[in-house]
Amino acid sequence: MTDKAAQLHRDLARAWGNLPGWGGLAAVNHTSVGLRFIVTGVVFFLIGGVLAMLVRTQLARPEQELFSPDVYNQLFTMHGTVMMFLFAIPVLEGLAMYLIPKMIGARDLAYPRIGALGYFCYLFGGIILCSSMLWSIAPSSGWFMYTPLSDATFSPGRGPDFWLLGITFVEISAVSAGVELVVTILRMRAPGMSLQKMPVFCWYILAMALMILFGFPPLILASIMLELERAAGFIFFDGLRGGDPLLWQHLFWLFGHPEVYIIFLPAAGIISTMIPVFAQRPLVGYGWIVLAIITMGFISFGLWVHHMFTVGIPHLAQAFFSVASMLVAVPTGIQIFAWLATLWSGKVRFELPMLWVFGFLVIFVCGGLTGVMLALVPFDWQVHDTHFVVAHMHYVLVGGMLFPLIGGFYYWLPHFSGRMPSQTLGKWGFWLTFIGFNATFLLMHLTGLLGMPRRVYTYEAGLGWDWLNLLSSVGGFVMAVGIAVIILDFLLHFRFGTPAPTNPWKADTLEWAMDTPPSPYNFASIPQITSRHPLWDQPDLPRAIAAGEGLLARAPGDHREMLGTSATNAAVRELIRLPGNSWLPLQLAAILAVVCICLLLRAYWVALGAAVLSFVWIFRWVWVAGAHPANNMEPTDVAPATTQTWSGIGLWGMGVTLLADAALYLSLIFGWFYLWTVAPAWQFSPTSSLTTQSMLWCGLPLTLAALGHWLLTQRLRRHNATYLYAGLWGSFGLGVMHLIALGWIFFSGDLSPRNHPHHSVLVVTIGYLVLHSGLATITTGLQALRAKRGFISAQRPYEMPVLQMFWIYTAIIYWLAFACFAFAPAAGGAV
Amino acid sequence: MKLPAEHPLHLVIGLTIWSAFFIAAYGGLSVYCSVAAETDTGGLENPLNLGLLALTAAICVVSGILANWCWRSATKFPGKVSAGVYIAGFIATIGVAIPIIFLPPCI
Repeated sequence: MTDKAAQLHRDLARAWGNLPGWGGLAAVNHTSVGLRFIVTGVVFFLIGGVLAMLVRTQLARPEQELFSPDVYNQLFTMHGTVMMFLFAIPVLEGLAMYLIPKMIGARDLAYPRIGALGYFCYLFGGIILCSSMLWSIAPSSGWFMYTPLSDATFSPGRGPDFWLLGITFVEISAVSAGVELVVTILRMRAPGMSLQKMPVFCWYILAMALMILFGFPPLILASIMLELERAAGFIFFDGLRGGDPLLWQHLFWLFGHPEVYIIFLPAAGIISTMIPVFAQRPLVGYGWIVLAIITMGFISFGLWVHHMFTVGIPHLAQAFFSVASMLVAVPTGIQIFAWLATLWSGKVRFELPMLWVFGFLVIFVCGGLTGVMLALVPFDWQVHDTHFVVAHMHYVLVGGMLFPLIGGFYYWLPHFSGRMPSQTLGKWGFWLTFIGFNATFLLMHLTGLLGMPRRVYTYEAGLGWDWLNLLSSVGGFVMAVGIAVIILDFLLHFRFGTPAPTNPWKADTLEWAMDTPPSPYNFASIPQITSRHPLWDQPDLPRAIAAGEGLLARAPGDHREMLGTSATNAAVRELIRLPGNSWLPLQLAAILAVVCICLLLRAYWVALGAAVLSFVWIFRWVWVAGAHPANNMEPTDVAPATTQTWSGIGLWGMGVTLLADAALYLSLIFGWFYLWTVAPAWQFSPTSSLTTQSMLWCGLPLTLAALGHWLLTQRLRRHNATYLYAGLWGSFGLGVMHLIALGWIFFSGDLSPRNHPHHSVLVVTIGYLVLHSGLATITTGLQALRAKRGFISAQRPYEMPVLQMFWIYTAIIYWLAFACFAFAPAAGGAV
Repeated sequence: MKLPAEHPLHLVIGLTIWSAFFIAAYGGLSVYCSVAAETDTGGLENPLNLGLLALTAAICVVSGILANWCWRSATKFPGKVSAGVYIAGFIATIGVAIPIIFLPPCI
């Protein structure tokens, strides 16, 4: 390495490195945050695994009394909850956050501080949720928290509250990771890495991230609604008072079924990444796989009712979901055939990670086949709520997620540590896990077919289930030993593993074009990509990158710089300055944790105070973002600074966030519509004084505010910044008028959400509208102040279109609410 | 404004149409059965089944035309995959619609 290159590496390390000691908590770079997600996820996996062993111990023999029924209920509820919410999704997100920038030739994710915030929300939410076990008040209604079992009547303790608040808190991290992964993949790929040259793993993660944005909001909404019902007496799921418990099932499974594919897709991405490397040839059917990913992403949203075949919906509706459930097997089959064809036509090297690929193929195909069986309505009726379903679910999730994940860990272990794992321990770990898993769950299919229901804490002897349960429990412990061996291998390899050679698996993707373990800046310079397999087709690339022969080989003023590229062709569009180490994410997550804990303790005024403080912190964060002078950049001839552009990553981030926001809002509209048409005791309240006329007048200043902001933005596009400052204050004033009107509607509307389900929906809707209008108004006031200081101008328009999009969204949701509630009386009653 | 066949939005339009169809089918059925449960005769010749079959035919025609157009117009990867997505939407629409031929809505 030349002196110049060495100096470049030193400069970049200084700019991108974490703070020393406790300062590491302020780290925002994706390598640190991604690894933290992974390690924390593995810790939660071990907790969930211990809970599983306790469950298997209890079921090993008939009529055992190791645990009381209530404790047993807590064990299986927390096992499912921890594994699904605190392990599976976060660990895969962490892996994606770690790998994606490295695979696409970027130095970091698009919003590093959001990633760090997501991590702390996940950590704190997980701790809050798991802490309930310490006091034996953990949730006990099952991991899908069905109503009415989880409502205040049948679960009067705090268990469901821990679940609802803790999971909602954790989901902040999932949605934030979804947003930043989408924007990073679409807008920060290395120059030349067009869509068709993108590593297939990125397609999987793109689909996963988009699915998170549409899949999680229904559950977030449902959790808020159930918590409001439990804590404040609102009516959504109480059938006797006009709600409907099935609404919970719909909202939960609207999340829950896509969730299976949200977990499976990144795992399949790991498989699609590893197989070509070990088959030493490109993946067969890249285009077909992309097609299968997209198809799977969509169709998986049309399956949710197959979890509800026994609740009494019409046969035709069941048939829709039955067919869709079988259809989703087609894109899965396409991928499996593509993998087999790649293996068949390549020269396969049977390295350690390939063992896990083999395990995945066997187990996942079996799980898929039982899935098709369960898609058949009559069969589903027979085995519903039996151990057959439990066995199927574990075949899909362990085979489809855990095996690829561990295979991926082995594959990228040299990347994390620069050392190779032990072959001996690795093989022992695999075979113990594989044998133990199949002993546990293959037999469990039989237990279920023999009629053993799930979630019973014990069973009578002599029903034919005894030996099956005993062997399942023995298998479970064999699997646990296998996992212990793997973890031992991982831990020992940091000390005893042989140093990994450069690109130890002879892979084709860019993450191996850097030192291992990686430097905090990933690439000393940004490469120009000409192939889908850069390290196979451009073998000189690692040297050229390290020598600073690519783009952006600089770190002026210790700034963290990145390139923004176009979504389709990855042409250079802008120069982005990313934020450095920051305490804001930790501070904000801590305040949100206080909100969460206070809600659990029902200390509502303290919670309100903390919530207000959290908004203050958010606006403080917003103030130093965007075109704030702290983010100024040295000019370059590569591309304009992002603050000089109109469609920077801020606008993309807003657009993608609003997709999730819209999914939540549409779920609310769906919930209202569902209760109206289906709930037996639903009625429109005749007592409300909310009128269409008042809503019409209330919407007028909002529309004018949005229109005014749009006009100012259009003028700025024509380089006309006159009246910008005054105009922004004008929009702000109109927004305040709208908020006052909305408040008047709320307080004068005689709304009684404890008595009328329709009013419950109205209150939540108005709350949603107030939140959005309030955010838009306050941010417009901030923009006015920023325009005064020159942060926004004809030369620096970056922030205007971002808020413009939010104003338009705010206006749309208002008028959509108006349309729903104005036309409802014509169809069934008064507003 | 006409989107070129290579535009990445085509990668999602085909199955977005299918999603809208799916929502219309399930939502339409739910609404129909709640408002017409008493007048529904239990036969196959009812407004819902006939309407959904007509919708199926319309969506299949649109998806087929768009698939053909994308395939013929596109020279690059996204356009070809988009054609595949339209075909996937076409197949999925037919698949979901098959039960409409055989099953009445409210039983």
